[in-house]
Amino acid sequence: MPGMAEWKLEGTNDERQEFKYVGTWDHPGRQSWDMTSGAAKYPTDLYREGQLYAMCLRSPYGHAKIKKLDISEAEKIEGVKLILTYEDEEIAAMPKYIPSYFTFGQSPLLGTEAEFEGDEVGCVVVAETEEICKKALDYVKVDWEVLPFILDCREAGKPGAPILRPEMNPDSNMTGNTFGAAVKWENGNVEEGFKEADYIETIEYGRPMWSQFRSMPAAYFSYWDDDPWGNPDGEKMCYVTNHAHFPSNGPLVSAFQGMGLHEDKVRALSPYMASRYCDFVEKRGAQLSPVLSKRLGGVPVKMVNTRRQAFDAAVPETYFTIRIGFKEDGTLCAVHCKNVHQSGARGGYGDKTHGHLVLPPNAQAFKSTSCPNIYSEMEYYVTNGACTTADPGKDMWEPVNLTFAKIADTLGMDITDVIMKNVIITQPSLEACMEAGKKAFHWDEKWHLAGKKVLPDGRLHGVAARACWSMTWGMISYNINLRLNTDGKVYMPYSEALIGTYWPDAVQLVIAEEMGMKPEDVIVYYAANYPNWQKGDAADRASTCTWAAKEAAILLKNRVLSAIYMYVGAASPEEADIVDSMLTLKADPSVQIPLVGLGQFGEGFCGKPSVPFQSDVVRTMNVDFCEVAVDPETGLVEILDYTAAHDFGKVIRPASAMGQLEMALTMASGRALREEIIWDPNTGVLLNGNMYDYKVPTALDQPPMDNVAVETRCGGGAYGSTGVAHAHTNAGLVGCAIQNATGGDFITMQPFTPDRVLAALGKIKKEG
Amino acid sequence: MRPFKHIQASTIEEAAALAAHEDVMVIAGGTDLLGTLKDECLPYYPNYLVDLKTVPGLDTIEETDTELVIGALVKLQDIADSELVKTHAQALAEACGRAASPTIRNMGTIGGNICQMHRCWYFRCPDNRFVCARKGGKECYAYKGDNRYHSILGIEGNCLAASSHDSAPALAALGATIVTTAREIPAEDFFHANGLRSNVLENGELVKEIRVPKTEKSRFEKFALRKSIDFPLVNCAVAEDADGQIHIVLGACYPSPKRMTDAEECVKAGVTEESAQAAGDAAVSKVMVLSHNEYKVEIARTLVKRTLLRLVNE
Amino acid sequence: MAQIPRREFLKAGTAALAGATLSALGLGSITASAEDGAAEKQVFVYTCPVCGKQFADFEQLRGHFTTKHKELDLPKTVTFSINEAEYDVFVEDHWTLREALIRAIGLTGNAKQMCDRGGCGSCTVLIDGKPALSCTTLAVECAGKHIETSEGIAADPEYRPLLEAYVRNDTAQCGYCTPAQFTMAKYILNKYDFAPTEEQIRLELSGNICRCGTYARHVKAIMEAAAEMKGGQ
Repeated sequence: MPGMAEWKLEGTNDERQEFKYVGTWDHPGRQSWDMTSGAAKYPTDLYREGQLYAMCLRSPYGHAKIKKLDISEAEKIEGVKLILTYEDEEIAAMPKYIPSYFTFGQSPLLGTEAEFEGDEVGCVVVAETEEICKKALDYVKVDWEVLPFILDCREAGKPGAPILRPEMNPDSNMTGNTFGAAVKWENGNVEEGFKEADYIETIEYGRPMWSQFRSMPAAYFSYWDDDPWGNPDGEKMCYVTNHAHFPSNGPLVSAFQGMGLHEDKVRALSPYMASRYCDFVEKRGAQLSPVLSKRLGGVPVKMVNTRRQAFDAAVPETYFTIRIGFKEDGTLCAVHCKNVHQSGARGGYGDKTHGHLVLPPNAQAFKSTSCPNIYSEMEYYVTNGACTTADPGKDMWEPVNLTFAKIADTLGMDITDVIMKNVIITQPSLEACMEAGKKAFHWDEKWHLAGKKVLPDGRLHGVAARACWSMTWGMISYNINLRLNTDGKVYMPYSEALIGTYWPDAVQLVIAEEMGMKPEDVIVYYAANYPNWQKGDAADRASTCTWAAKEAAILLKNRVLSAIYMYVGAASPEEADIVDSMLTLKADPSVQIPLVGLGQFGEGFCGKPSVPFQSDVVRTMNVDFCEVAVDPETGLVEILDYTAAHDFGKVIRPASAMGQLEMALTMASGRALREEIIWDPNTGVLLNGNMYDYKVPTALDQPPMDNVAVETRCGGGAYGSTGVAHAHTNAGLVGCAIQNATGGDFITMQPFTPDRVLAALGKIKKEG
Repeated sequence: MRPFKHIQASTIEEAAALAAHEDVMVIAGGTDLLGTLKDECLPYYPNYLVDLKTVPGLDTIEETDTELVIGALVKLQDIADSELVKTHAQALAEACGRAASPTIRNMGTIGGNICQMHRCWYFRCPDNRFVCARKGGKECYAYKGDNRYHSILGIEGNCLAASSHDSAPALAALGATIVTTAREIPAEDFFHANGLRSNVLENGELVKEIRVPKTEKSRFEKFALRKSIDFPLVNCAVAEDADGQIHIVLGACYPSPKRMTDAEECVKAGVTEESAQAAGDAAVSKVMVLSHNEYKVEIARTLVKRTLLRLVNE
Repeated sequence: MAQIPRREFLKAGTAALAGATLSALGLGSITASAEDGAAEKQVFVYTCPVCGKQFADFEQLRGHFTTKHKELDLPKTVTFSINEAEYDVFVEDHWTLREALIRAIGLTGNAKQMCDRGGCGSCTVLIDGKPALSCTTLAVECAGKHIETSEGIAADPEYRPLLEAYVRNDTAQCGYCTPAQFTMAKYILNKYDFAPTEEQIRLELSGNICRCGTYARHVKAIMEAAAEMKGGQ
């Protein structure tokens, strides 16, 4: 198998072979006590004396413009404190582009045009209660001009489609980083490749908009108050809730950038933000609530969103048509891939011009196959459904894995053989994952040709496997500051709101390992006023922040030993060591003195492993396996086993590492079988914006899992670790398993609901 | 929620008298009502809520020689767990045990479940966004809209919503009687798309109790996409009455649960694999499929068959 | 975990932690010792339902209301029996128990707003021992009933093994749904006499949505706690 160019791990990744704490269980998370007891306060929980509520006017139409707005009656309502409209000078002057990570596209903070049903537009009301806000909004007289709307990006791309955002692109609905033209990319010569092929097949793949589904609908709580840490200029501080999981993003950053302040004037209120999954959509409340509070003298203002309103952030729709050419032995030799992708109501994620999206995502993963001839084309279209965010999964692998499934099905091969034959990157990681995963899943006993196995209860049995990268989220720098205090403990402050990856707890283990401290003597603590680089937490973060922590710990240990080695009678720092929080002699471990009272030492490291973001250097892989039972009479699919073999490189904190896999696979199962955002095709009104009709898996729906951790030490994070969850939230694998069960066509659109399964079984006609 | 005044009723007659007023709504478990008030999805908002839970005596399950008498305020979970109901009206115990989620079953009452409004997403859209035929408008928005969960057996009262209570087909199949403050109504006739209501109750009329004839043979099946917190895509109840006649009722396929008499004919001579299959086919022999719900026909066909087979195989 | 008394930590740690705003944010286990955080006691304040002004006792609140809001009807006074204490609280008729927990009582563990429509279970409390959705329960209907919240269960020494099992197993990821699941866990332990099966636990938890997919962790934590607590029962 062709290998990759040698890539040397840097830092001290390779050096440590013995681990005392890293990779061990039973280290309770520091926040877990408060999260369990309910002492933890999330933004929705906050309530302060004199608190007011704010709500925006929202569009009842799929796309509409305000022609006239009259707030005079609303202002008279008892309990209304303030109404600001798009004409307000301060709000109109707030920046359109930079805050909130491009999510506003070119929309003003409070404009006259609503891009989707429920879009905040026109005016914002502040009142004593939520009920009064609602009442006041009822009294706002709006003269709407209803505009044509489009929900499906394929419709948006058709000639003659209404132009939705002429200010972004007057000629077509093509927006985002394609700048009005499709992104095209070719490797080798695709037409020549097809000439060499023994087989040529076409694959269709589509997925709907999935709700990002933060556990907590965004709530923005803001007030201005004196600075308890003493701000010398005497100005008030702005306190805001923080629930961003990404640097230079989120309410905090939105607040200070929006108001033209600097970061030190804004303080995060809570380290609890609830989950977000690559959801970069920050709502207008992030910038509005601090301004509204300021205008009212600093009183607390809370902008809440209902669950329904929280459906405005979604994973974009995407559709692929892929022509593949392959040889008798299962080798892929030509790929012609066309992708129509949605950039959402504001241009959304497609607006980003960061390098990793300029290359069409689909091509990124095909580049990891041995196929020499790849043509890829990608079009982004604006629509009126919801704002789009990133896909927390690695969706570029979906067409590749579907390609392997198609080859396997056509040739009657085992799909795991097709994967091994075609994926060229990352030895030994792929092989290790494949071997461990097949064993845990009992692949060799379960696999069969498509349509060849019926369970005793009459259901059709199917299995499939798929490969993907395990990414090191190497684009983010970490600022880790450590201090050995006179009490003999090491302290590390952080000020991020967390989403559940337990990175501070992983960092604690790494620091303990490198410093020679007991974990309980490493205090990783939340410090609201600590101006650290990061303002958020991300799923794969632990691999890179632990890298920075390791570097900082090594620096600190060296500094400490250089200053105090003589206390144990050592002649040089090299002769001394720290073991179990005690200063000791390497030559005579019985000599021990506590670190208490020996001085105060600090070190910091701000940076990241030099792992480029692009796929070319991904060295760790994972393989997922799925087993389904398909009811041929009702089309209902049950996942019998969903198993991931994930190369973590090195597992730092096993409880949370495996937890990330459980989260991602559970989410993928929901997306595969039930989840999609549904709008009324005639009005553009959201229909299933509640938790009955948008069907997140329950405890009874969670698939059984038997996940395995593979550790090749090949990643770019601390000790060769890599990220986790991003790799597993894609749902296409379930569809491949369904096809293996039915022996029929691959279902071309997710989720794999009974209607589509019955159609694939030929029981009912196909839609569309 | 917008303000309202809360009144605690002490007798069912008092509650019924209050409920006759236009600006009054009644609350029992509240699991359906409070959501509709928060969403403001109805054409009007009450000034008063009358709490029925303070009415004594409506929360017991009793038996006579021939019937179970279930108070309107009995919780769904208590019915599901009741040995009396499990023994004499198994379909109802199964239906109540599959409704909603465990916590909702601990709060929601049987009276509330049979009065639950339709789960149509046009009807339920917040802020009364779609003024459909049920709310005084002219059209059913599901007809041309997204109707994947809607009726496959035709239109009732200019409505295509699917009946969404799990208890309803069980009560109808069991031949239960709904006793209200004004009259006694056979369960089979009780459910109906009737303005905002999913039943034939009139203003000022409240459910007091439900009488369920005892039978040793009844079963309920539910098909939903999730195993919990989900409304039925299709549900089905079958029960053998005192004369040995099998009743088959399909739910979630029509605005009200529907007795499938053609299907019943097929199993007159007994339930076998073949007759159950024939009953399933008969149940869906006269369907009115909409643009997005043809798949429900197959599910209904299968559920009728499987529920019948459970009746004889378990 | 080592015990780090809070005072000592503050002295040794950083003066910044003395910031006034931190005390009520549920930071006990991350700014001080874990055990301290879990057992953090609530100082009850009486809150005006109209303007949110807060008072040390109910009579002061009543006095405030009758002078500052004399044009309004006096709200209903409800005596809440929550965990181990009773409080007189002003609530509006249309307030749900969830709103009352945030706005008047200050116990927010089970006041989470995931869906606010009964479809997620994140606001589950125990009322007279049975699970109830606080978003779908009117506060005025809770008078005279015994309400249990996650804060009370966590502070109950008898349920310490459950709390520890929850923490040990990373049952929380983002933590938003965790207090309600933890509350359900107490109910499950009692309903099944401290010997629930995995199937029973999954069934009982199936009204509580966790987007982080932690369900299997809850099963494990509850089984472990059951095994440990069974002996003591």
